[in-house]
Amino acid sequence: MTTTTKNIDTPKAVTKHVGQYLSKFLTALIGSISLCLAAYTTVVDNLVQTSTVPATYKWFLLKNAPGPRVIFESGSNSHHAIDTDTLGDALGMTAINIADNGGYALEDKITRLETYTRPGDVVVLPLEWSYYHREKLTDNYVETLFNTNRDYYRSMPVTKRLKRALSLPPGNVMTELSNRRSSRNTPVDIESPAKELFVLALTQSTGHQSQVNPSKKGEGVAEQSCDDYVLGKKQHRQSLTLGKNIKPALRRLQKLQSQGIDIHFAWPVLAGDGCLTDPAYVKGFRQEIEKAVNKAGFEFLGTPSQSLYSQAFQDDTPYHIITEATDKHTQQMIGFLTAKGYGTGSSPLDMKAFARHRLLELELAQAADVKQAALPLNRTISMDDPERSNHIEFTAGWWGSEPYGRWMRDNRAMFRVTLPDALPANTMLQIKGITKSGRPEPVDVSLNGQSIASGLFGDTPLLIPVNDLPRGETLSIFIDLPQASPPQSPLERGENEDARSMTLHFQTMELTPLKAIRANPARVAETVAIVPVAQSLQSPPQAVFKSKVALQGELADSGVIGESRISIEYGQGWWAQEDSGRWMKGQDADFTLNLPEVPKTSPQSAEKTLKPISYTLKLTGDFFRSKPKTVDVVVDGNLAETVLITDGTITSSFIKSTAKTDVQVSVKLAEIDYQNPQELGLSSDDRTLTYFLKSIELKPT
Amino acid sequence: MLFTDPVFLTKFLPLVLLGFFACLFSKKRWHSQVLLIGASLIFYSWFKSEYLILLVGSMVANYVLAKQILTQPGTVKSKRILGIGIVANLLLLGIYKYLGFLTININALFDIGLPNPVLLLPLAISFFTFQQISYLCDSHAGKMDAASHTPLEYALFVTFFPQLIAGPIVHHAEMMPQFRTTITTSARAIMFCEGLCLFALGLFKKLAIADSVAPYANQVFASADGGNTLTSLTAWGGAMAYTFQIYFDFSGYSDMAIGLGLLFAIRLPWNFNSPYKSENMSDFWRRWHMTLSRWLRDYLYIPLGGNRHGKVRQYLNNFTTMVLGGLWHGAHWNFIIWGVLHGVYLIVNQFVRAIAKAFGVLDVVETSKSIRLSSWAITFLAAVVAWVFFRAATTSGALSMTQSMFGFAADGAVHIAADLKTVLWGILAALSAFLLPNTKEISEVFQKGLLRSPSALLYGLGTLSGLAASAAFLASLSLTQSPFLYFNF
Repeated sequence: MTTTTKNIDTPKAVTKHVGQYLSKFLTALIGSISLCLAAYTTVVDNLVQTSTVPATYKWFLLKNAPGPRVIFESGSNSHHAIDTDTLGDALGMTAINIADNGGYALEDKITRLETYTRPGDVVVLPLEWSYYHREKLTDNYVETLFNTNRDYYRSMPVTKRLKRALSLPPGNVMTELSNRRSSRNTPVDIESPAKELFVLALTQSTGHQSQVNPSKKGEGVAEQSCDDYVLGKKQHRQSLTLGKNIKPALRRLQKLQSQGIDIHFAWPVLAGDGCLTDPAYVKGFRQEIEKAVNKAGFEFLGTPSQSLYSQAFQDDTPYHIITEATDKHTQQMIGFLTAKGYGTGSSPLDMKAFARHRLLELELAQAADVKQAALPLNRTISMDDPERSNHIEFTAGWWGSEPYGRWMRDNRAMFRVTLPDALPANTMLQIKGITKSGRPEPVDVSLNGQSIASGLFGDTPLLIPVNDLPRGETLSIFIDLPQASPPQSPLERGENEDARSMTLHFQTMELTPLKAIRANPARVAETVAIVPVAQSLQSPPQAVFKSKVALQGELADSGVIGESRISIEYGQGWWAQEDSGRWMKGQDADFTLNLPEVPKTSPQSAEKTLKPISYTLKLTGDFFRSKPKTVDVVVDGNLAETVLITDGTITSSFIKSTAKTDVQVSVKLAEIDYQNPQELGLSSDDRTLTYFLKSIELKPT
Repeated sequence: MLFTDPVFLTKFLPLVLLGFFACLFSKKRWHSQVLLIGASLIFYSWFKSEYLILLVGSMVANYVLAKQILTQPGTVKSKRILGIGIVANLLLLGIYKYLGFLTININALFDIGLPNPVLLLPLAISFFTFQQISYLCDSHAGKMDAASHTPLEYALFVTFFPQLIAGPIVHHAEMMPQFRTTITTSARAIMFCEGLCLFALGLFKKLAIADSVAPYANQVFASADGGNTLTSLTAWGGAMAYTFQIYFDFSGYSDMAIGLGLLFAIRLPWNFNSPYKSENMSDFWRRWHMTLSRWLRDYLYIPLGGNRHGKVRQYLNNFTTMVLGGLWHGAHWNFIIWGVLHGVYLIVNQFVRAIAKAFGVLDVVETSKSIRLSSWAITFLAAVVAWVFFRAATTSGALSMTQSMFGFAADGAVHIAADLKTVLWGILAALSAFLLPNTKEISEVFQKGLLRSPSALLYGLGTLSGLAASAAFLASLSLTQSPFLYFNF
């Protein structure tokens, strides 16, 4: 071999400083690459949405449902195929179905399992066939990673997030940037961000959904055969082999299993003619999959043929089955899991109840600082007012804005307002609206856990005294319905297709002085609630219903009840006040009559010096279905002497011998049926009703 | 394994480089040569190991034939051996590349039902066949030094992986001396920097530009090949998209190959020199796929007589060379039509120049700005029209597209709108192809500038390379990538 010492053309100056030059070039090269990639990952990271509230209900379940759980993870085949309600009931375990879309990245699905599963959880993976060979991200996944699939990205540790950011095509990033730019001036609905999830909590509480009847039969298959649809054309599927990502995925699952999480594989459901007919993947590819999975120490529950259903059970694609097949498949899965020893015999978590409360908590946690304008004085703000969002934020527990108002979705919600610095005396935040039940609902209003008002909302507005509240800062005002049972949606009640549960409907808000409310007769009529007030004992002691400001705390100063010094405070056993009276819930109820002026014989000892007086107490009203056989009336702990029942009137007598200003009365209806109008088919009212009290008469005898 | 394949970038190349630099310490040149030959064979077999034996067999046979020729170069015997060698090489190429095409056409003409041989085209067969034919020819012509005809150097000349698959088509005279040159560490370092820079720029051209306009070109040509008549705008849009795709794809690949060569201190020949800046078709062929043009000139056009036998013969030689050049690209009538078009273009160009010369206005033609601009536009558009035949999968599709381009679209023609991304990349591609310096010019700046302000230049080129590599990497994340176009030839 010839060797020459001839050098190529190289400037001598350079040869002296080769190390320096090389380092300069490489420094600039590596530096610019690092800067570019850092800038890119930063852009991606900023584009992916962030929220405490998960973007999808399935993510909510995975992150929040308490364990131990049976978790079904895969694409849409299992979303339709596994009824986790039934499965959870059968096993006595909480079962959740987080299967979402077969196009989402396997690596990221495993990352979310690594992040959110806990020892004791059982994970079942009926992965679609494509998961075993696809290595690239799909368009659908990449496009949604910025918003609806943001939780996949956000749940990753930093290194994986960097890697994922550097796997997103710039075209998609640019498109997302452009979308953000174009939607910059579009108002974003940040109020009550879990409202979409709340619907799913009511309708798909454990994450599963299937169609009773095929919705769009075979639409997703077009003119392909089932096998073509599942793994591509014949030529393609015959050369299928395991993706390079499968081995690392199995290693990660092995690690997860070693941490106390049981993992099982299963075959995805398929329904239709021409499914699993090509031996190329039914045998060849399947064997390759099984070999890899078994080698990693996992096993499959069942066989592919056990997950195969006929054409009659197909919904829109071979991977989607209808409810009849879902029921069969779920029972089969229950059998597989039972055979593996799972099942506790206890009851699974009531996921609907859990989700209703947890979603509100998440919304409250998500609530960011708001800069809002103070509520204007004496201006009625309707909920469809474009200016509304500047003054009122419906932060948590509400449905979206509608033309005439906004529904509260459950028995608790929070909105935020800011009070102006200067307020006239006795200023009220007056809220008008209606209730879903059609009757006034008792409402508690609180701020920072402190009750600030309570009263009725419905036919009459809710008045919240605000003078003692902080000014110039955002107030988080909670509305609670203390006596209400969990609301049902019209869908649940069979009324219409609206799946939302609703309680109160806020229509207007106004910050206004109380005297302004009273000064307008029409408004007074609107802004007061009806509660019974007894007349003075000096006048004929007949209790009549009088107008009185709803807020109990304000009574002493309000002066509204100037002519009537006796009032009634309802205790246990009553439904909320209605126009002409109040229903008893069941057999027992009590109330207190406040008698402010009792004749005293000695100023030192009012208790001991009152001359005994005999009274007749007459309750007038209507029994709901039937009259009770007997009624016991207990006054101040003593059983009333005689009780007469005639139609809707209960008359009793008692003797009062102390100067105590209140009289505590308990009523017990014996042997009475109590049902609700809904059961009787009279209306949608689901309250149990027994006796409707219209008036009270108290007379000395 | 493509140059853009992560396996190549993260495993193969670093390992081969490490091995190569380790071999430098051994002082035995053959160590690094064996390493590079081994690596090249692995690189080749990565695509289809079955054809490795074909490559090795062809290489061994040609080496033996050349050795025989070199014993008595220029004699009748060596001429006979040369003839055998050329026939054998062309036969191999013909069987794998043209037999199917020939069978189809014979069957179509004579309806004799010959069985159609289904043979997969061995990768790079057109390239390594041409390189070896030129070696045999030069051996016979006495341009070779028998002493330098060593098996290792010959094997490395044929297989050197940066140029093995899709060129540049190297000449032994520019390659083999480099195998024997001792290079100082500093020079090697500079070549390494230059190589990285070229590789990064090539990556950018391929992944960012070519692959960004490719989907639109694919869509339009698929529609035309599917029997649709396109609107004039769509047909021009598709043709333009492909015009830039093939340039940035192939020149990007060539830049990467040259860059890779430099990493191993081997300077491969330039393959492109801003062909779309050409002002006439002769100029175009001096700038487009320069190593193929050189080969066709040296081993086909000149042996056919070149311009030594009068104008008519010159035109005929040009035409023949271009038609065979077209056929070299593939066994399809469209490649032949493409070659015919370029043959005609060259004849028209030479004819016009001859007339201008006869009238004494050649200087005016060559210096007038408006004429030069018109010439450039005509040359470019002529190339665009020819690319339609080069790209279309069917002759009817190509004809339909060219009809649409010239305003003969029928009613109800299909319009395919390009998305904004394609339009923007298309504009960037055009500006880059028409106005910016090419990689050859950048490389020259690099070498010259080292004398004046080396630090600034190194920082600048490092940054440029970094930006190009980053952009290429990000572009490679695209969910739709296309392979290098010249892998098909």
